[in-house]
Amino acid sequence: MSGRLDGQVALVTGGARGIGLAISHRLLGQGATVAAGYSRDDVHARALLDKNPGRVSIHQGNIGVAEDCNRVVAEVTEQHGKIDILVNNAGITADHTARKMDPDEWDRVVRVNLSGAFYLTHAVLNGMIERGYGRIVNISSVIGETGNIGQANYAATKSGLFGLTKTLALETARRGITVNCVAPGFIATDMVKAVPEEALAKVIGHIPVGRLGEPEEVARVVDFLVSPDAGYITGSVVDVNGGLNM
Amino acid sequence: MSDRRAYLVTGAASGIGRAIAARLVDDGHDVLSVDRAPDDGGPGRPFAADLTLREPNKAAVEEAASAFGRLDGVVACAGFQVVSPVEEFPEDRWDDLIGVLLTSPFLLARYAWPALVASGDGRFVAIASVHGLVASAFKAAYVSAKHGVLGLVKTLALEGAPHGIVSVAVCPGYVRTPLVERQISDQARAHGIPAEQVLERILLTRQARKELIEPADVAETVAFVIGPGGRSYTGSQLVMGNGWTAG
Repeated sequence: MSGRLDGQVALVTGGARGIGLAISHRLLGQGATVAAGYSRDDVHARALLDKNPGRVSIHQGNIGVAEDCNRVVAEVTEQHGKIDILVNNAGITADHTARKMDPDEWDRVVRVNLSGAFYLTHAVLNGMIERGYGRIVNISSVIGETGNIGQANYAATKSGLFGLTKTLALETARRGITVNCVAPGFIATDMVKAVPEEALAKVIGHIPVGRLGEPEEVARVVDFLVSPDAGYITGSVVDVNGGLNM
Repeated sequence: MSDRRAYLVTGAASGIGRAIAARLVDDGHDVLSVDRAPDDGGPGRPFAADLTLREPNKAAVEEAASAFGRLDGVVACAGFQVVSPVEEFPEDRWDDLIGVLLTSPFLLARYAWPALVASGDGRFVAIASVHGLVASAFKAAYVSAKHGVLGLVKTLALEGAPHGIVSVAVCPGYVRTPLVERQISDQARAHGIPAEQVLERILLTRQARKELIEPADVAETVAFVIGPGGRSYTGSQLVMGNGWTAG
């Protein structure tokens, strides 16, 4: 095998489903070893493991809890020796208008989508600094740029990731580490396909390209950003949204 | 605006929050001045609340509504800073800071929403920061929270529009507050230079205008956006950066 990520280890949160699965496949295809994080869906996680013997490990945890993040990073480091690439992809929604949103729904989404990215970065960074190399990509969303009715929590976490990305990029810029953000629009995942057909048709009507994005179209951008070739790109937000937010 | 309206301001015992409370009182409004350590001699009606917790946010909203019989706007200003490289950043401090700077504004909006709808011309104002738009090293939690609150402000603007609620963020650069004043003397000592050179050479290197913003100037902007002239600004940021984001 000769891929540009040969010998590298990538931790992809939410790496067994949706956009995360496409990212895992893509990085595997480039020769990386992939440690896929998951929270509950061990069917998909196990399927990914079984299809890629020796190339994949799976790690259960709640990234909204700092102790789980530290444990997962310790597991991955023990099994694979290091972490070169971190993709903070895992995300959840719990939609309600602000008026009706249960504060527990706010806390859960903030912990998983925003604090989880911080906890994991915090845990992997010392190793990256010691080796003088690292690639971190945070998966945000166009909703972080625009806001969305019923998603006060989700929008706040996705815009929060922009700030986290830029701060980490500044702090690590001279250490061989890049930190970037990818902001997908509406991608054909289970999360989006769960939207009622009529509402989905309306959404698609607003996308200049006229269709949903494919998970692989996000994965290809992540693949480039985590490659050694992308060493001069840091602190950036890359939109992958079919022209949605022009 | 000539009619008397009622506002809730957090972080109102000092700095920007105090200036906002003072300005709104001067303009003839009722103000609930919420702070962890309220100043009984300060502007507005003092109310003690630990905004890291859910219940005190709710209690503050209820107090404003019952004391004034209405609540027309929330100004979320309370904040603090934690400076640390990310690999050493204490997780608990991250959680506390996210709690006060991001979750508290959501909780206040959540609890105040029916009153803001009833107002017919409600306001949600988040005092964000230039750090809602650009980053500085060693401020991971602060910059993440300030970027995050802009997402909240936009969503509330979308949800509030049918009800006449206007949601905006005000993004100041360095403001003359006790927090910054302390940094000036600390930096002067650390760098061995006179205090008057600290602003130009250390703190304000990225601002085109090398001067601090006065709290009263931020209050002026808040007074404007909560007035009728602020309606069309909903969902946006009023950036008071002294040229920080210009280049």
